[in-house]
Amino acid sequence: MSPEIIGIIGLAILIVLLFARMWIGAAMALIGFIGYGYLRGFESAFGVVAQIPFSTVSWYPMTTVPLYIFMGVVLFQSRIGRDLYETAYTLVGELRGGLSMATVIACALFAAITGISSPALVTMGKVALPAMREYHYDDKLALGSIACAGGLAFLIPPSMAFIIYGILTENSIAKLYMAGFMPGVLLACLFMITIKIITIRNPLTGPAGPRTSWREKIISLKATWPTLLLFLIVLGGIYLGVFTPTEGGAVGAFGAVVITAAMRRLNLKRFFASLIEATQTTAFIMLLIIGAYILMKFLAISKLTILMGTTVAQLPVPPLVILIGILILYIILGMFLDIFSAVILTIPVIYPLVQAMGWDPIWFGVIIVILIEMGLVTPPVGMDAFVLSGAVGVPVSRVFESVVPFLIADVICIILLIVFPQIALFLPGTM
Amino acid sequence: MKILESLSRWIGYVSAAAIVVLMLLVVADISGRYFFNAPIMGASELASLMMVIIAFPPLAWAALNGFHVKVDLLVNRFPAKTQTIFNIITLFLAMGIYVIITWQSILESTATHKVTSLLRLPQSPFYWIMTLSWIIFCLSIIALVLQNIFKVKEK
Repeated sequence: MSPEIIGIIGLAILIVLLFARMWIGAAMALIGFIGYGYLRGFESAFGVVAQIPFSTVSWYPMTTVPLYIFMGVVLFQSRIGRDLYETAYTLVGELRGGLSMATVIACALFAAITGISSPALVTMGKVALPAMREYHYDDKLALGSIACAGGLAFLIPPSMAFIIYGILTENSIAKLYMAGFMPGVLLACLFMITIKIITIRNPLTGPAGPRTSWREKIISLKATWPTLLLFLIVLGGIYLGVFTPTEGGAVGAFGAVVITAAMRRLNLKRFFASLIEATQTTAFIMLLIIGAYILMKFLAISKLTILMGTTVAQLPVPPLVILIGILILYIILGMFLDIFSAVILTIPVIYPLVQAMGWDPIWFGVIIVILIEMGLVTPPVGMDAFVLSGAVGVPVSRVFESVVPFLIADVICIILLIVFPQIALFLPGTM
Repeated sequence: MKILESLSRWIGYVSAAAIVVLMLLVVADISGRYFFNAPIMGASELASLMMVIIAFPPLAWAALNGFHVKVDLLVNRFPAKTQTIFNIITLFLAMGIYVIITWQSILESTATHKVTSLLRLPQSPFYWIMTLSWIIFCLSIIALVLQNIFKVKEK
């Protein structure tokens, strides 16, 4: 049998194991090991599993993983997200659908200082949802705006999704960050337009909140200073080259601890709770990454990914069709994997194809992240939908129903990015 | 099981502390470099070695707390007993690969004489931290297998 066939068989067994509910990291490592051993002899396969765990983990860029997670959890524990919602509420609450728009704005701001979505989802579920219910907002509009806007955390830098994509594909994380910024703002605007359209069609879904004076609006901006400060320090430092995105994780985490402690929001109990959550989350991501690296070794020597890349690139169809095919694949994957697993599992297979097609890897990274965000709120298993439903005690099916109009906004954002790649590529081009 | 749980938790606390050390180390390096023109020598090497202390030890803890992700699409619709049997099979396979990794890791740890390129720190202690973590990780997988087997027997 040719190595490519072995590669296909390996991937097929991997899919079976995943459906059998094996740990994803373990399944990737197992298939990678057996496949490598079959092709090159088990003596070399032993060498691979002896080397990869240590060399993968003790690699400087990996230090960002625990630190960005820690930063996000600290900010969640110290209730910074609540302040952001109160400010956004004062600013736009008086508009029709304003409380939902405030949710989107607060999530976008929170996204600028966190790299994971769960802090925003849980915070908004606890703060924005009761506010919207008080004003008799349609539950679907309320839940949908939280579930979808929470995902902005992965698009607006800093972002764990870009870090992992950048590490696995050896692309500049700084460039990916800059590339995610404008599409993130665009997507937030599209979400607000969606809310506007829903409330114009049926004003009862989102009545206006209380009027606030200009004075109140300006005063309310005061609560955003910790967010702006932290955002400027981390992103400014990376953009100006004071420190690398790798080091930015440490600066962000340190900044978050210092600022929230100075505000007396962070006590020791919250500090330790944040640390413990960051430790366990890091462990599971590392197990995944080790598995992915072992699998990548096997796929590389099977030459399957190269074959797939060149075959698909030579197909007599326009590149757009191939892109749409990949998009559909990712929407399906995002349905039953969380964002880290989806990126880590597919990059070994998809990335060579991206290179063969000659697409810009930074631009493709932005598109992948939007796609995975969509998958995170769609059935059968959208992790973000589960997090939100768990946090507010609403059946997950209600969350799934609520996101439909916002998914249209996601699709429009992707179409705009395909037509105008500059939206993503302009900022990294200025670096 | 109880012993394993508290052992893995205490090891996890060590890793949590290492995250704080890592954060302070990198921040000190940047401020030293930027404000005083005196970076910490080999900071990135130290940070990389810290990652070994952060990433490997809590693997068992995360396993016992059900943190490792899996695909919930098909098997979770099956009856509880079938689910448990699937759990046993997949955990068994996972144990297989991690026992191999642990075994190779032991060989590697005994053999390695590598030192880091700048600070000339010996890497072997860190290899042993990894190896011990793998051993505890394997033990916790075995504990999970046993737990699932008892579950089948009860019914």
